[in-house]
Amino acid sequence: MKKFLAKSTLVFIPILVVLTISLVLLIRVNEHLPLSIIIKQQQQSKTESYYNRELFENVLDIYKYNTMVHRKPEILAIGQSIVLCYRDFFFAPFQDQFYNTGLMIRNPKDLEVLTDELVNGKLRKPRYILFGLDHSFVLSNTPLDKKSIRTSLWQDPIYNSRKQLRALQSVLTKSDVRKVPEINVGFGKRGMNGNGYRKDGSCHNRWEIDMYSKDSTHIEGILIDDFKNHRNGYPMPMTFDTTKSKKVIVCLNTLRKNGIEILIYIPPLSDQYFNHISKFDYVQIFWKQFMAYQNELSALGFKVIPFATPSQMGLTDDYMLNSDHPGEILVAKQFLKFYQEDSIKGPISRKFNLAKLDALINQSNHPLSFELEPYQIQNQKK
Amino acid sequence: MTFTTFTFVIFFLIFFSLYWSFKKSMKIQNLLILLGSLIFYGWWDYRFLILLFISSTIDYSVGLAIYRSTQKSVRSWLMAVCLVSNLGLLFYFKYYNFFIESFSGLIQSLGLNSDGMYIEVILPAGISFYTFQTLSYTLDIYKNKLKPTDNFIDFMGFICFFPQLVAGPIERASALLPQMQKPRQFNYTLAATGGRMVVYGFFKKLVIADPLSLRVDAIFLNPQQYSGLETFLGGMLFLIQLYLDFSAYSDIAKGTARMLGFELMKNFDTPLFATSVPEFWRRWHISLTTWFRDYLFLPLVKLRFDNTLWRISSTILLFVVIGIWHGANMTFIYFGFLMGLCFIPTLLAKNTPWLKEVIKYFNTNKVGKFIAMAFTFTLISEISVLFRAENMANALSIYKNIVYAKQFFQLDEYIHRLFPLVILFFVFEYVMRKKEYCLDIQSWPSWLRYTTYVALSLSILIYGYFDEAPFYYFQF
Repeated sequence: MKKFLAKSTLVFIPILVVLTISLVLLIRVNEHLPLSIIIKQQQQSKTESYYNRELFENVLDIYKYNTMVHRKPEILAIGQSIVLCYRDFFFAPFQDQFYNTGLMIRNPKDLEVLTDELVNGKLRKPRYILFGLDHSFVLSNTPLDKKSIRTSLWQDPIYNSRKQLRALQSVLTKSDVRKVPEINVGFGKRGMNGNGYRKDGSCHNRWEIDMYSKDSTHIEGILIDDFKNHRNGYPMPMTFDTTKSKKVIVCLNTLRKNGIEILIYIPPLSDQYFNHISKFDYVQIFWKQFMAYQNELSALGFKVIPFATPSQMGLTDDYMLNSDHPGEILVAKQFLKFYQEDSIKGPISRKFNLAKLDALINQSNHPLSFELEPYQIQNQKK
Repeated sequence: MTFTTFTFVIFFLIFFSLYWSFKKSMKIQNLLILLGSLIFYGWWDYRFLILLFISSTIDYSVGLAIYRSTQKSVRSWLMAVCLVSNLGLLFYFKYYNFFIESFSGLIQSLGLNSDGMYIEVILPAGISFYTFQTLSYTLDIYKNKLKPTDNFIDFMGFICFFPQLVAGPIERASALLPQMQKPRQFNYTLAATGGRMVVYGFFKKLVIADPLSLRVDAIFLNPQQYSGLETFLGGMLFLIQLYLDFSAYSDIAKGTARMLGFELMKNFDTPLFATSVPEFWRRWHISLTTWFRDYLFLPLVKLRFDNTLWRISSTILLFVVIGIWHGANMTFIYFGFLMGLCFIPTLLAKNTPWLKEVIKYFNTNKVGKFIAMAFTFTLISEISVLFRAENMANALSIYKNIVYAKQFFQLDEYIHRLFPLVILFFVFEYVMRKKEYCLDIQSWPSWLRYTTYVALSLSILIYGYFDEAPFYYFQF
């Protein structure tokens, strides 16, 4: 027995050495922090910091849910990635009470869960909700329907041995992962590079902003290809799902009845993309139903920022991050225009300081970003 | 609990230490085996334990009752009770919905609504394996080949023995039960060979089988996106993946059992080097094929021993049943049927001298042997498409794409990258095919042995696939 154990240990020694080295490297690139600590540190930090992991899954539902619990926001943005460019200062003077949960709610089922928790007092009820309603909320058979919101911090992949091993493998096999990032803020290598989720939950799209800055050319991304191959949010047939659409209305009505002011945001699509998909009859049929649903929501008394392409707003696709993600300037313009033209404002929206947002839009000199990037600021200091 | 998880590694380290610290008490060791096995199995879902307990208790009681009874009719009735209850549970959990689906037309013609007849149940892990293991116990007692045990803990230990509970080898009571009932001493050689089998099993599963499965899954999910050659190779890659995956499980099962002082039966004997389909089945999933041979095929053949047509029909029936054992799907029935058809030349050869000579040539001549090996591998691979496909439409789309794909000669980079590893593995297995197990490197110099262990372990750590990828046979 002793001989067997001794010989086995001898085999395990090199493995333990490799494991230790990779673990040290993993800690060095700041990937090894659990979400519970990240949320605390990010919210306590006085400077901006970005959450975005390189080797572990971001688990945005868990991250955003728990940050939301921590911040107890009065103003809440919910929906998919299309709401991620809504920033805290849009909602001045409530900027400190804002949180953007973009990507936490992925389908009507998730919306039901959130509504239930807000109404039943499990979560603190906000006073204002901005709901990003993209077409997947009313489209049948999307892969997003299979997702369910996760909330427990124990579901953080940091605590999963398989995920740990995969992260260790990346550290060992990918040399670029091991490079120490140039900016010492944020969490994880990608976050440190200026990509990721800000303290207010909105997203900082450094990659898209950088790419546009290079040659002022708009990038469409992969959506046209996805559409051609019926991938992701474009299954065949494209059928309007009445069960899902009714579920959304029930949730919104429940929230409204509970005294929450609601703004529904139907996100834009780039002209290039929308013109492409509109050529197809089945898209036209679906889109007609989607637009009818948008009108139905207005008829039910909900405030709705309607669907429009950049050209319909007098802008170009340069204001879009890609085919279906509006940049923050475009989002700000839509938000400002809507409330400037809205004569009957709600109890919260009537307090918004729109002049400040207007001034910021006028000052901006980049179609995708309000401010200089942190790395540009650092270069200026040097 | 799955073998290739951190949880299992921790579990086994604790279990191993605890188990050998009671080497003087066989009773405590057996109790530990039972408790450990229940934890291991209950890790999936504790409710599975109830079913396992019911199934085992029935066989334990019926086994004793059959043994004590002297009346033939009573013994037959008891055996019938055992068969109905075991196969009934299996039918309910595994085949009921398939049955309703298959006969929905008939049900509806009787004025009934079949939609409401479907049941929502989870298939308990390993149900087909342990049902057959318990059945063999009672059948052997019924045939007076085995004396039952009156020790319930020993019996439960035999049924639940965690290394082989979920995916075999399906052990016979006559082989495993006596091992439960005799004291076990730690044996260095046995434990060392066990350790080697475990490392080799982990390597096969995590470094080759799982990365292969990614491409196989993609080809079967969307064959139209692949060339004719890629789709054709899809069948071969699947067979290799299946062999690596399942034999890895058997290796780990045999290895862990050896480390605990038990010897399990050999389940694979390098089947991919078989020179004919019958030979393949003698070397593939041996514990299952011998089970069906002993309890279904031989009793059936004995009814009309000299009739070739009867023998062919029995063989086809045998393989259709083996197909159905794997799952409730038409694909498995066709898979079994085609496999059965492949036995016809061998069965006819007994009375056809020229056919006998042809088969002999391919089994003895070196070139002939190689051709037969390649042909057998290709044939089984392409029939195995049915085994892997979700349904018949999926299988047909694969076959169709081999012939009608826009491009035939095109290979994607991933398959290119996998080839050297797969070929290296084939060469290694071929060289080691006559050994008791493939990593039997006891005769190598110690420094080379040590280097091999470290190299294999580091490969697992650095290149192993650690996403969720359960063993393929868990679904059966």
